[in-house]
Amino acid sequence: MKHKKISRRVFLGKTGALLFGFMLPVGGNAQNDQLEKDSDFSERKNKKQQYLNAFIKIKANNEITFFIPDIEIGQGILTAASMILAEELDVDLKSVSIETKMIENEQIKNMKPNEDLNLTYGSGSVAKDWFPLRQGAAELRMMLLQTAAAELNIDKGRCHTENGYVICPDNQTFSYGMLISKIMTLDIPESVQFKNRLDYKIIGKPQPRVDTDKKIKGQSVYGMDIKLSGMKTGYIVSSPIEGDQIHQIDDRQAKNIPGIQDILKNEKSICIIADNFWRALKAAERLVIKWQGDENIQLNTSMIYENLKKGISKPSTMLFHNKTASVSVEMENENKLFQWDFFQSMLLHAALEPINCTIYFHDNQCELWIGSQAPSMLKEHIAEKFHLCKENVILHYNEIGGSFGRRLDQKYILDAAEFARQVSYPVNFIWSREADFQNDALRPPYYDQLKIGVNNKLAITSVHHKMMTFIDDTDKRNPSSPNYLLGLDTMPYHIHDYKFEYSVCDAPKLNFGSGQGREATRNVFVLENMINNLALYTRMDPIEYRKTLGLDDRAKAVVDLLLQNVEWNKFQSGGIRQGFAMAHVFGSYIALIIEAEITTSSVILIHRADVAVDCGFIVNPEQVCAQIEGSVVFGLSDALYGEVQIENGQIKQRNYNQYRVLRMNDMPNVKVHMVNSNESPSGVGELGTIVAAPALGHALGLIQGKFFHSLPLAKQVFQHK
Amino acid sequence: MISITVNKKKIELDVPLDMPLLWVLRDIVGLTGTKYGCGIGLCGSCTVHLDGKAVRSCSIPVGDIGNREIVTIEGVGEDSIFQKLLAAWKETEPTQCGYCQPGQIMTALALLKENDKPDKNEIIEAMTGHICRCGTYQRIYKAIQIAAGIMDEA
Repeated sequence: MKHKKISRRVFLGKTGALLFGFMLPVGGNAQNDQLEKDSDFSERKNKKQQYLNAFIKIKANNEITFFIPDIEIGQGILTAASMILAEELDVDLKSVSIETKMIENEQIKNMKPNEDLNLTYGSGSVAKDWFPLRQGAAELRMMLLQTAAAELNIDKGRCHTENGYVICPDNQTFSYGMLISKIMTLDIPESVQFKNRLDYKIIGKPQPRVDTDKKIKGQSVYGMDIKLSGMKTGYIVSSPIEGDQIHQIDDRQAKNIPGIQDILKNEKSICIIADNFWRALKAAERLVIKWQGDENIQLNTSMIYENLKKGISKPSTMLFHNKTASVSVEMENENKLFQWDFFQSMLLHAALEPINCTIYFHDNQCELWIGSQAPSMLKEHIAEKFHLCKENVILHYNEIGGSFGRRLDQKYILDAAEFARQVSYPVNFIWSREADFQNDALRPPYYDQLKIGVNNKLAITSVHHKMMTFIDDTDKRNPSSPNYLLGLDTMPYHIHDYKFEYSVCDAPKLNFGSGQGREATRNVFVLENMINNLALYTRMDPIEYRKTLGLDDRAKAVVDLLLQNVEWNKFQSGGIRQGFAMAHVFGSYIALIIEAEITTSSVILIHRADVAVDCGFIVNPEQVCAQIEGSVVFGLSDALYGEVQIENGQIKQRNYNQYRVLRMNDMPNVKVHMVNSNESPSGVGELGTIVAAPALGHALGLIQGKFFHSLPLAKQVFQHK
Repeated sequence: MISITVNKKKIELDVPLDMPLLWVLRDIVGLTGTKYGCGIGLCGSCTVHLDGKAVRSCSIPVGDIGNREIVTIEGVGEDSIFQKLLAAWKETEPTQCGYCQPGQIMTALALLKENDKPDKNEIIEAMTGHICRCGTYQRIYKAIQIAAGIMDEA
């Protein structure tokens, strides 16, 4: 044991910093790797020492670095996670350096083995970090107090911390850095006391984002901005038809472009490597490629929907049955039966930064500079594909220009890596906007059928919800809460006898992925449409109608907060109406009122969007607001215009002229009202998107006297005209 | 060989004349604050100033620049109106992923230089050429108003 402590001090002496647990200094070199291996993992693992502390590095000169496991895709997680650490460690947020870093599960106490701290999706970052980050920082703060007290031989209760210092009686102070070399002799405390929320100085107070300054001055390094010595640019040409292969290539014209370094080929794509992107693109235009021709060339949008419709008669899997009534009434016996079919279009992510990645194979290693929401999975996939040890797959993180699920896709990185392995220099692969759209991992199309039984007072007696899907997507990471049930099994209503099942249909050969709000976007559109529709049949106010469905207290509070801030039922008829939708998903509650107009010249104007949200305890209020505003705008874009069409087996939409998104002139005035909650923080990032379509559809439907059961909305509004 | 003036520096270049200014700036001059989003002038991420006017650098061949002065996001640091925009941007915090923001700022800067008190429609008209998928338009709008010293609406 003693021996181990000595080897640690040697380690400290060499690096000049105490690296808790198994943190490497960023850009860790081979020497540090070796030192890390030397410092006896197994023994510390037994003592749980390695759990302290993956998130924080303190140097002797009191320089503090936070390592954040989440990927910043604009949601403000670097700021929120740093706030949590700074609060519990008691340091000035402005004085710390912040880095994204992969943190393995075994470095963290109490992590469930199948949880991936580095996976950024499902509006989950703050919720996921809330406990482990506070725990890590609180443990460290307690040990700092203990060390200072031991120095003075006093009780640690007589010391307190303040902005990176331990303050002891008689004005004796120690910087954290001064104490750090002595701390390793301590055991990690068995339990820690978190700060009382009433004492928070950072959490809950609006903090400026830590990344604003560099971003607005154009100094942030995104994937395309990476410069490495000897680096070339790669542009991959693949068939717009998924699965098609190359028959013949004539690259003589392409080779004539100056600056072309290499033209690499595999059976399905060609990679042009040039000294800059423009030249690579020019060369690509001069390639003469004969494709083998895939049967997928027959595929078009209507065939895809036809396949989904066939799912109605396919065998299905029951996933959820909310049988709160003691007697389940058979559909046939019910007073009235509604059957509504819901179609939601395929979507692009259309993130502003086209996909890209930089890959460098050297010395039996693969180094990647990536913007991926799932870096640990990527690491595994690369290691597996190229038969490398995971330690030899080295990831570097760069800034990401939006994602919305786009960067959960890893296919493009794995494709690029095949080419990168063939050359001896780093390659910065860039997809053109058109290639990004052409290769997007599409949000799949949705078809849901509802059969709703009601009694003679039009109260719901049973709902039979059947979902048609192309992917059997039971979430393997979290089998108890499948993706398919998002927003549904937590619905804020008590609907008796709600039965949900799904059928898997013959999937077209397309690259499908995950969209903003995932399956919650799908379910909430269906569910809220149903509720609004039934309210109309019962001639009840849609919000009052929801109250009859037994909203729980948090749901009620959100609705009440919204109603306190919005003049509901401001318009009873005419060209301007209000639409409502709400949801309980990712642990949070959201309610939205959209005020929209269809002008006499058939222009859709969205005037206002008022949102009330309960996302538990709020870490960074201004950013919660910003996330809600932004996700509402994203959802409104999708709801009004979002539609991918497939023609001849290819995605037809290739740029923003064919894929309309909201711009400033379309922008409603979005107001966010937040419930002051003491629950644990829950999801925020996608909430607005999830409720945008049903609320907007409701408003536009009231204007036109119909219900929109399909998306996107704009073309249906114009058809009506 | 052609020469262009970027951020007050004259630069000699040996590039094809049809190469878009965007790629010249990013890949030859090494100024990566100007972003590529769509390549056909639809998204505004590549906005730079050409003799003070906001233009889409993805759609201007470098051979067409002549002796007009190019200013990129890297070259506006000293500008007093940029400083006001910067402060306003920090106040309203429109930045999320940040990818569109340098372009948005370049257009806002050109607008305020030409018109120090733009009205609502003038701001919207100038900024509608930009796409922000994070949906930060409302905060950008407010930031421009603050930078211009206008505070009209709730």
